[in-house]
Amino acid sequence: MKKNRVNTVHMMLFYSKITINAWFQYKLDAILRSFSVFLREAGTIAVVYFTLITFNDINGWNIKELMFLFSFIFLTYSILIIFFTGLRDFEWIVNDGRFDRFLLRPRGVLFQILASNSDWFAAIGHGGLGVLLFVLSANNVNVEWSALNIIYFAFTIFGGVLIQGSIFLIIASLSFFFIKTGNIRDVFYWNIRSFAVYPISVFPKIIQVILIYIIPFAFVNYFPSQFFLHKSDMIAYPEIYIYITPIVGLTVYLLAYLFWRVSLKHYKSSGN
Amino acid sequence: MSVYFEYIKIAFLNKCTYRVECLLGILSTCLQIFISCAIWKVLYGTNQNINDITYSMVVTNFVLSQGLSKAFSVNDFAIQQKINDGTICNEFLKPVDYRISILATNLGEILFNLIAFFLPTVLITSIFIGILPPSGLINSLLFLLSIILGFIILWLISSIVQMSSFWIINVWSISTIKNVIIGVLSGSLLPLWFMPESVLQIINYTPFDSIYFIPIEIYLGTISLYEIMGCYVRQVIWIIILYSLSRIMWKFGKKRLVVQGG
Repeated sequence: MKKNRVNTVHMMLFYSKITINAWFQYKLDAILRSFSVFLREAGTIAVVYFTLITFNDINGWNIKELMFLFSFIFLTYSILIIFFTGLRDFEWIVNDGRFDRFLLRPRGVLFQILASNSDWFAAIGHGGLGVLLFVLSANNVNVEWSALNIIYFAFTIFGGVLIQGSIFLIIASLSFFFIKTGNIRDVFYWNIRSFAVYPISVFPKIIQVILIYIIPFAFVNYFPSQFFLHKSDMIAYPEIYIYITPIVGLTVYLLAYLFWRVSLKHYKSSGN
Repeated sequence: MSVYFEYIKIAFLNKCTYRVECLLGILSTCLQIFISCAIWKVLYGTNQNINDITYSMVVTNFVLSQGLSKAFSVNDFAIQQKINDGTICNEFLKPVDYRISILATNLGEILFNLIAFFLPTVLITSIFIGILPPSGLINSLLFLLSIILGFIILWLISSIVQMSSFWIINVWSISTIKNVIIGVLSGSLLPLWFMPESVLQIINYTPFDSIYFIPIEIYLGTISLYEIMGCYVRQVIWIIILYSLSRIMWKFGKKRLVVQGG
């Protein structure tokens, strides 16, 4: 009898097909929801845009440079959410006992969680806005597209996705200890992210330290945009930080993964 | 009437059980206010005031509008949840007005939010950043009246969003779009003193600035008593318009209601 060996990539694609079918079941609703995610994030940009009509710049950054800075956040989130939705919503998977099913199947638990759900509306909404901002601003801030820059950009986006994925993974691991993690996520992901949309040099020292060394969001957008923009406020930080986003990403992801493995041992089912 | 007081009481007590949630909520809102203030501090730089607006006024605007907007959070999905699981039928059978019972539940939650969430937030932010006191006793009373009218406007807008669930499957997108519009146009993310003139022209024809910004202007005493009366009239007119709209939607929506199974 021929054994049905399904390789990982094949399975990932199959999962994606199913999640797309599920998310786009109601077509009008899907379009409306993607659009409202887009609008929600664009609202933040609109506020900054209106502010900078009165004040020409924030700490030397004009609106075009800020848009370039924002675009990293949206592009990375859009890729992130294709893979990490299962971790973002992990609280519910644990609370209603669905997690037990993952434990019983003959595949890695983390692989199943990552593959089995994708928030396609957020991916389209954030991705659309990210691409729009990037295209609008990249020309205006004179980004040169040499082969080296393109490689740097690809690696940086990859690192940025991993950094945020690690935050999701750590918060998800906390679900094994606490019943509700929604508010922890609000504080440690969303609040921190709303700091990170601005150049970190505008914040007090303590916030800068948090954004660089504790929840390293500065490596998602601030340092990478400095590679292209060379703003003068970079003088306060070591030059090397501009280049190490992928390394930071891999390191924190490894740490987060170890934390996940340790936490997993604490799991006790809540469902029946 | 006493029935609705029970609704208020139950909602209040319900909120009391989630203490950690409340603490983290305070932390999250304080951080949000802190970000806005940090940005504006940089924008102000060494300037004492810009267009006659001082940095302290901007901070006061952020603390009050962002604090209140979190405290005034109304569940936009109240009706949709009941339609989806069919329990809305029970609401029609009970000898209470369903819409007033929703309002009573919201009032109970908001009462809790004001005491356990809004007051600590104001206290913490006034210690760390510092907000201006109200510009006088009369102004504080006028502010109270105006913020109540503002809340009614906010609640009516939410009730219109809730009732659209009679026509569409999921109100999430409408609710999100509503929150964006209110966030940007009500002055809680960008004080309306600094909004470009062309956008202000549009805002004048909408109810959004009368939710938080008008009360805050009264609080700070930046507008005269004569102008305050005009603002009250605007708020009342918007309440009448939004109330009529929600009445019409309720009347037609109820007829469209189809519950599958039960």
